[in-house]
Amino acid sequence: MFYISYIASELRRRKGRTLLTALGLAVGVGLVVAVSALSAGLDDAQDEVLEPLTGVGTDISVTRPIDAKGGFESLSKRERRQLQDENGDARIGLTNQGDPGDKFTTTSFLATTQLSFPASEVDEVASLDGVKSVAAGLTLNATTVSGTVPEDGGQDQPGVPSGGGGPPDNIDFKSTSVSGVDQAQKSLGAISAAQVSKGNWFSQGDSREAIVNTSYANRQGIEVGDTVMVKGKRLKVVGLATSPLGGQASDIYMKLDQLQQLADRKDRVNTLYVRADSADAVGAVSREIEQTFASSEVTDAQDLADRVGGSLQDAKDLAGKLGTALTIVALLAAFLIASLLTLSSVTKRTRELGTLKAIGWPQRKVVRQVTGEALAQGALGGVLGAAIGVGAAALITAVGPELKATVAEATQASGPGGGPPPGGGFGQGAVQAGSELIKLTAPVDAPLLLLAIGLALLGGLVAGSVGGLRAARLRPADALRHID
Amino acid sequence: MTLIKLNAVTKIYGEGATGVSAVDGVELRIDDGEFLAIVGPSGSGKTTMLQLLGALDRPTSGEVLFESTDMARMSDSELARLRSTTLGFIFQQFNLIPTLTARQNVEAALAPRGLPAAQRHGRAGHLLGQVGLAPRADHLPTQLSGGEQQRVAIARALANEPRVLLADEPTGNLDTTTGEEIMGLLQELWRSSGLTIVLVTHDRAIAAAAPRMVRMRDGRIEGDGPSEPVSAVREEAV
Ligand SMILES: Nc1ncnc2c1ncn2[C@@H]1O[C@H](COP(=O)(O)OP(=O)(O)OP(=O)(O)O)[C@@H](O)[C@H]1O
Ligand SMILES: [Mg+2]
Repeated sequence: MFYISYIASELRRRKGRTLLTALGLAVGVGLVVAVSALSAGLDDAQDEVLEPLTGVGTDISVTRPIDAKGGFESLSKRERRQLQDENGDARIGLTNQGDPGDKFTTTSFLATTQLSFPASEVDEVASLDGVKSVAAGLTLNATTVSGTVPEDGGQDQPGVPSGGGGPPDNIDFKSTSVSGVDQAQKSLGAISAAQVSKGNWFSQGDSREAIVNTSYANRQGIEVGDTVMVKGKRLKVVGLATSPLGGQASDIYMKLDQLQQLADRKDRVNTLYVRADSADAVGAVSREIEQTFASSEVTDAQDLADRVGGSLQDAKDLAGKLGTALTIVALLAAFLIASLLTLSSVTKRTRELGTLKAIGWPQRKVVRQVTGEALAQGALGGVLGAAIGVGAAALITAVGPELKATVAEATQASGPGGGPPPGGGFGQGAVQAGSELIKLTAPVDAPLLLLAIGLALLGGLVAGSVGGLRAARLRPADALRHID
Repeated sequence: MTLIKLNAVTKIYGEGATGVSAVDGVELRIDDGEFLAIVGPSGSGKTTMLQLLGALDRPTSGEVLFESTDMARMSDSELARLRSTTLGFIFQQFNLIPTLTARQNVEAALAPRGLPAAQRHGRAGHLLGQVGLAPRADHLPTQLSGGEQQRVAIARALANEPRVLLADEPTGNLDTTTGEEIMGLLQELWRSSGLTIVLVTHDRAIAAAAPRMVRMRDGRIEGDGPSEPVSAVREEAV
């Protein structure tokens, strides 16, 4: 094929033009590679933040919020009475605690913003299509009041020290969040065995045990082997657990049946932790649960992702909007530059191309020559661009800028009679708010490089077509006429 | 035998009042194996004539017959094939492709024929040998003298064994000695083969190499007959 050696000669002997065209395309597609790699790195960073949440195995959590759709009216009479008993009368009559001057300690359990429901919902949800497994959990606030019965007793104090005057000096309120966990389910629930950073998971028997949140343990100076008190019962601390950013965090975790007994909520739970058969099934399962389980609220990992903020999110938004725009502009500019350079080259070679026609080259072979040259420059640009992109991505990874992922406290409507601590995380209990620093990487994979080369070839094809059209219009007589 | 015949051929560049009749109602017959020179002052229409004879352009009116086939009835690709197989061109500026070596420039003429690379390569080498340039086969045009470049161009024009060689001022860019060498080469070619040569020049001394001379003025043929002997031209020039 003569024209291949002709193309090779053209590219080799007109190095300036070849490199200029190829570099134009290379910078364009190199930017595509770098921006795509950066955006993949940002996705990875977000996954890294969310991974502990989704990675523990919970795809969906199901709760029954106080302001549920359908409201109380949709519930049975018995269910309504149960909920009233649990929530309606959380008051502590100090006079009940003994004679004036006596020391006392009393603990009452309050639901967080979510209401409880019968444990039988577990089986209902478990029977749905696409559900792999379900674990139940019960998260409550244990409010312990201790002090001395006042002389002028007889007046009730609100259960939670919120607003108005506050309690007398000699009365001490302490609020601890407690989650009941099905110890048989090591990988699904309010915490999983994987989150235990020190010590062990619960034993399978009925010995009284607790796993304590690391930050609570640090505040209280609790270590593995110590005991914690929940409503007068001593629990042996068998492990410390760390809650992921954005995840649910209770102070103390204990066996579900023991908490149900202590809190007088036999067979009652307030969170279902659901694992779907596959990530693709999550959406369908969520909808199914919402339909079958009256007044439920379903949260999945996407809802969580929406709550991640900070510079990570800003960078993601930037990469999404500006990055895409920049990429398109850079590509268009690269295509335009390549086309203009090819056009000017054809114009400069008017006599040369006219001579080819004069010595008998058919039209299509002259056009093919021009297009082939541009395509070859595109290929060169693609390889250069891939190299530029890989270099830029490697530079980003090497520098490894740190991005901050922030999860804000949930701003959920608090219940009527207001005061329970904010909840609404993935499950019950307070959301583990705060920030995490993530090192940014920019991974480049083979499909991305192929895309880069493909785009550069496309640029070459566009430039070649423009140049080819111009070349097609040249007349063989230009061999004799054109002055250069 | 008539090879090319022009019947009332007119070529007008531009349109209407600003149109220029570069060739104006020309009648001409060229027989197979003839060597003729077209002479005339600048702007008389010599190059335009050559373009019409060489199927590089179509006349505004009249017929250009090649072996009694009207070129007007041939498609662009048929004309390209005719140029490739039957016609050879030599230009004043040599018109070599600057990025190709001497050999590759000759190969460029063979390219449309789709010969195997080795055969193409060998034939190009052989042709360069014929014009005395075998040792310079792998040189780029910029590494060759004007005369050498024109030899490469002649080798390229001969590549497909054409029946007609068309040359527009082939010595115009060369000094007298080199020009005479090139003319000698063309004469030798003409004598040793049945080639038809049409040579355009404004130099009567060069034209004297051809047995027949067509004189043009203002797009018309002013005279057509045997060329003046070289001695007469020399005297005139002195
Ligand atoms: N493409 C064109 N457009 C307009 N006019 C043209 C074009 N080509 C040639 N002409 C005109 O046609 C006339 C004949 O030109 P041509 O080139 O054939 O003359 P020539 O005899 O070859 O002259 P020279 O000896 O200077 O090469 C001139 O007046 C020229 O200006
Ligand atoms: Mg001319």
